[in-house]
Amino acid sequence: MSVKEEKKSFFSEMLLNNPVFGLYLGICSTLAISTSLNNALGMGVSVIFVLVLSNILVSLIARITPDEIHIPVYIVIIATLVTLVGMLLQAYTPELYSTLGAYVDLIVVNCIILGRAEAFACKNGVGASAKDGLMMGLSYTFSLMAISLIRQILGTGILSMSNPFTNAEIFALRLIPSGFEIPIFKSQTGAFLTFAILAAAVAAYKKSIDDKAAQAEKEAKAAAAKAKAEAAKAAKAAGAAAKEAKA
Amino acid sequence: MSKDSTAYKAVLLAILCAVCGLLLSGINALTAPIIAKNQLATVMASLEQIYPGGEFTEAEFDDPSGLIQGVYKSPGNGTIYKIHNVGYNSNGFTFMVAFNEDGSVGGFLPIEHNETDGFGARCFQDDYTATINGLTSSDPVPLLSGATLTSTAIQQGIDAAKALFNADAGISYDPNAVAEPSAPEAPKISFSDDFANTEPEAEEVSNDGTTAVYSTKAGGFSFLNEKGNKNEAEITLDVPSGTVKSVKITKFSDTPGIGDSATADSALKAYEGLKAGDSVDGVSGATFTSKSIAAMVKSALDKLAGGGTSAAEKPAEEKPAEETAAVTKYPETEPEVEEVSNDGTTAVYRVKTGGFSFLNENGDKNEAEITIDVPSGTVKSITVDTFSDTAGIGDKATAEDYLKKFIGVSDPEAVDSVSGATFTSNSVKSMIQSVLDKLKGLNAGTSAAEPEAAETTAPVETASVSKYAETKPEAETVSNDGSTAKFRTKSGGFSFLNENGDKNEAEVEVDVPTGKVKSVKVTKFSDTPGIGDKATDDSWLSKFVGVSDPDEVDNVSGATFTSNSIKGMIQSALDQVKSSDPAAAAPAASAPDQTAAVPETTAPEETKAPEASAAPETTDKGDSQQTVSRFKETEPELEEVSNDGKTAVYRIKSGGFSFLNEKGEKNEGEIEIDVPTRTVKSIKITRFSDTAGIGDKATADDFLSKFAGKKDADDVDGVSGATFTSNSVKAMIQSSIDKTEAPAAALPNTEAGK
Repeated sequence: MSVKEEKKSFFSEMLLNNPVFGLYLGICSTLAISTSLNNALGMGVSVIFVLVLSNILVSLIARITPDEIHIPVYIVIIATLVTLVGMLLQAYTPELYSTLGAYVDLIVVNCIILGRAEAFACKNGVGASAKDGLMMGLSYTFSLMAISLIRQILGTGILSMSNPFTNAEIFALRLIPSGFEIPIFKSQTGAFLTFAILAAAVAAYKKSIDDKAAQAEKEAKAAAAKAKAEAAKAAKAAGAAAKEAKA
Repeated sequence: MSKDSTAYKAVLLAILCAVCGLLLSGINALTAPIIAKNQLATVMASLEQIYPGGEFTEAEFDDPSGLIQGVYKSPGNGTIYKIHNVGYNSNGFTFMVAFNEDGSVGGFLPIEHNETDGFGARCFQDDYTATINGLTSSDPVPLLSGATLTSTAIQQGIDAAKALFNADAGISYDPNAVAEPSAPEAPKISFSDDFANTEPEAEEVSNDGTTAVYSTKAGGFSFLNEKGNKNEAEITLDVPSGTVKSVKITKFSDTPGIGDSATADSALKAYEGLKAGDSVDGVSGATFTSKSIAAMVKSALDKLAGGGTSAAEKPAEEKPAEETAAVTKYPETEPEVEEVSNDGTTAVYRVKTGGFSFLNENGDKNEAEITIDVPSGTVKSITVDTFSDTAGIGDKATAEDYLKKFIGVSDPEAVDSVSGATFTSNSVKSMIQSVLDKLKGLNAGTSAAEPEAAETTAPVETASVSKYAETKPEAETVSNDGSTAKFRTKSGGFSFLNENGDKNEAEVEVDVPTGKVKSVKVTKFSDTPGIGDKATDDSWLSKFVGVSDPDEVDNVSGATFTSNSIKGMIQSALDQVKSSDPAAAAPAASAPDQTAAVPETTAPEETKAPEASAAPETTDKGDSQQTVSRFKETEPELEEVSNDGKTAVYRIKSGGFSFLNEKGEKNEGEIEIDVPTRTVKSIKITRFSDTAGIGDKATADDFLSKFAGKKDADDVDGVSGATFTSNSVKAMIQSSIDKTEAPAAALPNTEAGK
């Protein structure tokens, strides 16, 4: 596989196996905090951190964990990591913590994390699990940023970023003149609308790829059949020729 | 250890939890100080926004509302309160409000909120913050329409801060004051405006050269927008100065509840003294009606200016007109009066007058029966039997406690109308006025002589027995041969007081010369069998024999109500003996009061009246024994905290509803008494044990503040609906007053001997 192909598969993976748009996991926090790019990044980084570490720890401990208690074990691990993240955020990025609020704690019940621990990490090695966690975390962050980008621009008219540690503004661009922003995008309604449209777009893309694949398969099948028919024809012709020759 | 054994699982989980716990406690130790520092910094940053460069110290506070999160004092600047309350968003919001040292608002700063844009969030925007910034600590906080939940929550928060600040700074204010609904946008209306579109009409009713009365009409909201009726008014002008003397709306055709804010008496007062060319503040929210009124006033002024010559021509016509106006003060209600009976002392009338329904919707009139005391020309009773106005609105003016205010009154205007029920109030007043007018017409000459007699008879009904007044005792003399008096008595117990059931009845025999009980026999028991009847047992009743004060006998525990009912009956019988034979009362316990009453008691029938008027004096003279027992059932427990001869502070417990009915806890309070005058200085309820939302009406500051300067707890009326708690509070106060008196009693008590 060439480098180009690998890159392509990374993005299509991110889109097609996207936990938010593809699997509809972790939507609660996605809808709630996707009001600004800052929130999206903060939440995304937190989730990546928890997801990678939980995947690594779960894959390490999976072999010594009896099946009956695997859920409590995973939950304890995840909850510890989330509490830890919460404390760190509160201490070093108080502004971000106050906007993320309860949703930091709710990472514990984010389906993506427990879902990956259950579906992947407990069956695979440490390296693969870490990679899976990173991929899933990035996909989640990517979805979050896509939604928040749309919501922030339409809802406030401004695209801005600030340093979560010092709270200093990095950039702020007014893209829609004041008075023409659409405040509904700041509310939950806007979150649902944006999410639905993006999810529909991803689904459509997925379908087009599937269709293309199906088409290619069909063509391949048709080509194979044609080849077979030709071969048969050739064989027949050969047979006839042999007969003729005999005669 | 097998991987599947329970022990293995337990150990694994335990180790995992221990490791995680250790890790977290380590991280916590690392981050906790930083988090605390951050939080302090945020608070400091907010504080700095209000008082830049100020020094701040966190103050201790005791906030009963629970809304205040922090109090920060800035010397030289003022005090900042951090408040959290829930408005629309269930997470609530946090804000700061500061009061400068002079009591004005020093700042209003939202800290965190998630209220809806365009609605609740407007409470944190410039207009509303500017309004708050213009207030002082004694002003009510105005609400913001369209953001009622949020602004109410802000109001509650600021009220809590006001309470703390004012208590601290010693500023007295009315905590229940209500802000005028958004007055700032009141439309300015000038008489030089053109009111042609209201199509004003004015007609001169009378003009004697000094006063002219006009009947006017002009369209308001209803007329201008819906082609409805015009409003009508009677406008009285002062002719020489050309100014308005009074405006009276006779017909209101606009939207009730909206336009009628412009027809309120206070709004109409604004027109008084104005002349042509002046301008007036309309009522915001009722612009159309305001303009309609202004148009009417202007048309009257124009008419006067234009038709001034008529003044000279019509003086003769004016007098009868004014007279009729005086007789029927409320002509628009079209009162109809019918005399039912009149025996020269009491007259009963049946009256109908129009209220809201009649005046605005051509509905039915209200009807009532009114009893008048003929000699004094005062109201004895009113019963409204047909109520035709809006239920829930107008009926505030037909509620018994409102009607009661008219008793003993000779001019219905002396009683304020019920706000929100102006039409019905006026209908009621009109009924009374028309009845009084009718009566005056009948015996104009006779009434003047005896108004004083009425004054003394009026209070008799209510005040004859003060000790167990709540049991409403009744005593009827069966026989009295001068040595033994026999009474048939009734008095309410549990069933009567709590469930409006029947009273208990008993026969009481009293030895007249000594004023002591000879026998008590319960003839009818109406309370709960098995509970209250412990107090009807002969063994308990026999304890009263030879007693001159029923309080000398302890109540039967578990049957407090019935015990008090029986004591009430005995007391009423004893009172009856005393009042019928003042000489016999002399050796009785409350001698000083009785002697005070003696000079005035010439005829036995009249003794009731002076005794009643003497009743409040009883407490002044310091018959502490009796006053304490007044609230004995609340079992007050008193502890003197300090007494420096000037001010005595008591910590006191006293039972309210919860204690008396459910054997619950007592209420607790702290009371300050001014020792030389034996008056109440302050009361603070430190613990409230009765039903929240019901009893706590009697622990509200505005009720407690009524006791300030009082010598007798009964000088303040209890809070209706919170009788038990009221009595509990009164018991606290009374026992504190009594206790105060005790050490100082030796000297001033000589007064009682007089």
